[in-house]
Amino acid sequence: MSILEVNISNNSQLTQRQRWSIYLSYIVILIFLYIGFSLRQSSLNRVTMYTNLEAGITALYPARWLLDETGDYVLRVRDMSNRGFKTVIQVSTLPVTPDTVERNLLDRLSLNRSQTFIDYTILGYSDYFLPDETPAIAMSYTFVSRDASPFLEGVSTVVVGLDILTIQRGQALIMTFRADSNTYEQTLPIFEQFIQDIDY
Amino acid sequence: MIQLVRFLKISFLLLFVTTVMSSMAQSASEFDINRIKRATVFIYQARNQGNNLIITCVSTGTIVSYDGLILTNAHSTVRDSICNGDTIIVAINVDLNEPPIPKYRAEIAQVDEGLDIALLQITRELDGRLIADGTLPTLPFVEIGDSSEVTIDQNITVVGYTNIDNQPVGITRGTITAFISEPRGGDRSWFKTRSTIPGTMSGGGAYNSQGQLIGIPTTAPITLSNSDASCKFIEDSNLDGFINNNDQCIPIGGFISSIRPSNFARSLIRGASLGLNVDILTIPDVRPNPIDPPKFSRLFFSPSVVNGLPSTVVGSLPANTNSLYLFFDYENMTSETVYELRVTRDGVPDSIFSLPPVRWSGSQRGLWYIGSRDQPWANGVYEFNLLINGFAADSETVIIGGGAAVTPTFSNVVFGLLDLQGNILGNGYVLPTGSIASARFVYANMIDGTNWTSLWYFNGQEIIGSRTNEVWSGGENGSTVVNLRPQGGLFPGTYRLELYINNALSATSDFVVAGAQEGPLPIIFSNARYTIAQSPFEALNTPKVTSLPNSVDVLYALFDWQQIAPGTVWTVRWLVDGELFFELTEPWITTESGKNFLLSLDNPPDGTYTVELLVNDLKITEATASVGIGQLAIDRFAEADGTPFGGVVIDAATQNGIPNVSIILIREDFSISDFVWDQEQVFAIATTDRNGNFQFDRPLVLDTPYSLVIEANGYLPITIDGFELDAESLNPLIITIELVHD
Repeated sequence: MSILEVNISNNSQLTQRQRWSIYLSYIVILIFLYIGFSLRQSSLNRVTMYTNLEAGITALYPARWLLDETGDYVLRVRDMSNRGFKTVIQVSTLPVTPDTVERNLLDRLSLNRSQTFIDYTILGYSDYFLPDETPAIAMSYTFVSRDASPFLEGVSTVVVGLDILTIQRGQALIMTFRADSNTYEQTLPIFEQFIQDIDY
Repeated sequence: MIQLVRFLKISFLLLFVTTVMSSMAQSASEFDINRIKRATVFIYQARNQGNNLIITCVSTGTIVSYDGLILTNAHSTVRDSICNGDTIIVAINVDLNEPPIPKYRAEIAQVDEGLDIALLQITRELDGRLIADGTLPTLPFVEIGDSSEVTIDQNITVVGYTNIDNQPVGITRGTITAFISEPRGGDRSWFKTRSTIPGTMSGGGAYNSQGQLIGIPTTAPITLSNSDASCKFIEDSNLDGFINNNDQCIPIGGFISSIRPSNFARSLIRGASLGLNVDILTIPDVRPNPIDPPKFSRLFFSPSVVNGLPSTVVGSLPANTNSLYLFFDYENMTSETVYELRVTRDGVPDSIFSLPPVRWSGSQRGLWYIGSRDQPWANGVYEFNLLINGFAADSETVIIGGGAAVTPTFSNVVFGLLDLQGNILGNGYVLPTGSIASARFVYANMIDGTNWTSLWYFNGQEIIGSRTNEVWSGGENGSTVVNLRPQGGLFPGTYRLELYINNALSATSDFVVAGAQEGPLPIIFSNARYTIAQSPFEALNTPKVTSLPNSVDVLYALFDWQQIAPGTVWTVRWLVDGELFFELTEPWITTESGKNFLLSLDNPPDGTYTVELLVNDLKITEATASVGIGQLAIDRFAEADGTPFGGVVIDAATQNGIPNVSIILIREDFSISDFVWDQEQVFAIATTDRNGNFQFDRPLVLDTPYSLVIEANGYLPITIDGFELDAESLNPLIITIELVHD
């Protein structure tokens, strides 16, 4: 039979040099955690420059969002990594006449959307000022999004949308944001940052 | 480092994806029956009644284009007295083992009611919402085969719905037993089969061994009859709380033995897929319908057809006959009229040469034939019974058997103008107005001294003084000419010559007189041209164009006409890049002569357009113009070939499906390192459903390297380059992808 002697150390018995080593280790860990967090945030907040000379629009949109210029809009970017409804930022322009006011355009958008969006409901209008104090009008709405594939069991999602519409230089600029109603508030700052950065 | 290792593990995981062969897994080159089943839809025609949609008619249809173009029958979709619905609902196969599920509404894009072919375009969701341009998912579709290559005894597979019950899409296999001839489609107007095809399969697809659609099983319900087993009561259409004979029954027709060859649908598909709509602006759209009941008369047989007309008239044929046609006159027919031919041999029904109830594909009146060529007719006494809308119309008997009889015969009548040498000049069946018409015919086995008669008709009426009763003195064999010199000359209209031997009809043929005389050929249509204008009225005075550098909203075609009698059957054809997309044959119903007959074509895409004008199937004139680059753009989506690709995305830890994950397939021109998250670089995107299942709506092209990206919040991303399938790959390709939490 052998006896195993366990010698339990006590911090109070550590030397000053050892104590400083432990403190330094903690500091190094914290620094790396900070760097990692910063890198992650940097990665998440990374943006991509968008320029459309024909439309006269320059914008910054979140990196790794899918850019689409093939539709009846100037640009549309979607967060394809989002599980659920893919958060969308869209910019489109419409021609106007001197008689056209914002309300006319919003009505037109609503009438068209009511033909194609499920349960399209306008939540309300409100005044909005762009970063350069240009007056605009905001329209919020909801609708139900459903996976288009008829062969799969897609589940519908309630989407909240926000249009910021302003008429300038003979055309209407419409900036649209749409997100899953459950994540709308968390993701809205991305759209607000987009509006801060857009140049048209 | 650990992350790199995990990343590589994931990449290898994707390479190690579990490939699960579908129940019908076959190589890409073989018959993909599941794809065909998925492309087969069930169609309801329904009528809005208060807040209810009452089903009025049902049929099968087949998706023939990725953007939701459906080929089916006209009788069950176009509104008429039997199918009086105003809404078309499309049910698709979500699960091939379950009945179809209503998903969409559709509208009629192109239709030929006589041929009983309709092209539907999916335009709305089931709830009535419009489907915005480009948002309809790419649907599975079938390839249209060349029905002219179909042979007797060829095996076919018919896909459709066997009933209005809980059955999923069904399959019936059989063989082609005969070709049936009619004027509208020539020798291959119909394919006959002995397969047992239920009436609800009408409008579906018949496929060859390559899985190409070569025909449309077709039968037309005759009428709504409460006592008819082919009419079903399935809902309380009058909302009285009961389902009984007072409700609307749904006609499903009898068993189908006739298949309309797919080549008849090609021009309609082309026109519908290009969105080409032709309007005839000079003639009102509403054509006068005959008031008198339809009827058939003057039934006779001929062993062959020349330019749509009988070569001769026979009452019997020798053994080993392999070609026989029944000719008859028809009146007051419409495209809604259903006609049927029942053939018996020695009193026993002959299913091979009978034609079940089908829509009338001719015009209102004229000469029709039905028969077959190059197919053996067994010896016997054949009785041909014609029915109109289910009622007996007329019948005629012919005997086949014995040796070839040597009997006096007239045959092969052609019409024209005589030159000084006694030669017949012209195109044979369309003569210009003038003072004289001549007919040359062949005679055989004639005996001098035989009585013979020639008799001419004009628009169905005997021309007074045209009858000649003579004694033959021209010898045994040869050809001769008879002339018509009516008082006042040849008026525009339809003429007929009948030749009798000993008071028995031996030969007969029709011809048209129209147009001014320019030598032996008529000038009926002239100055055919294209123009562009802001309105139809302006188009009458704008100059001719032959080349348009840019696209136009409307392309107008105009022509002048002269001396064409109302009622004369004429045809207008419109082609793009040499391919037919519009054809209309109907009686002429405007003035005899005039200028600027106007047709319009809306939003023609780039291409070379030709409009052709015909009378009696003879092309009289044409005009051509090019738009844009002068040829149609290539549609990358139009290829049906490829491997369907789908699968399931699961959580590696829980093995549960992950919903709402997007899988991005990058085009072959780009690798992962080139991918900058631009839609232009994307080949297709699929998103998983609530069970984690996904399915790309475009098939993968073989031997083409794709890249694949999956990024989902909460999971490590997956990327892979060189994702390529070849002919040995599984078809369809179904994979399982595991995602690992980050």
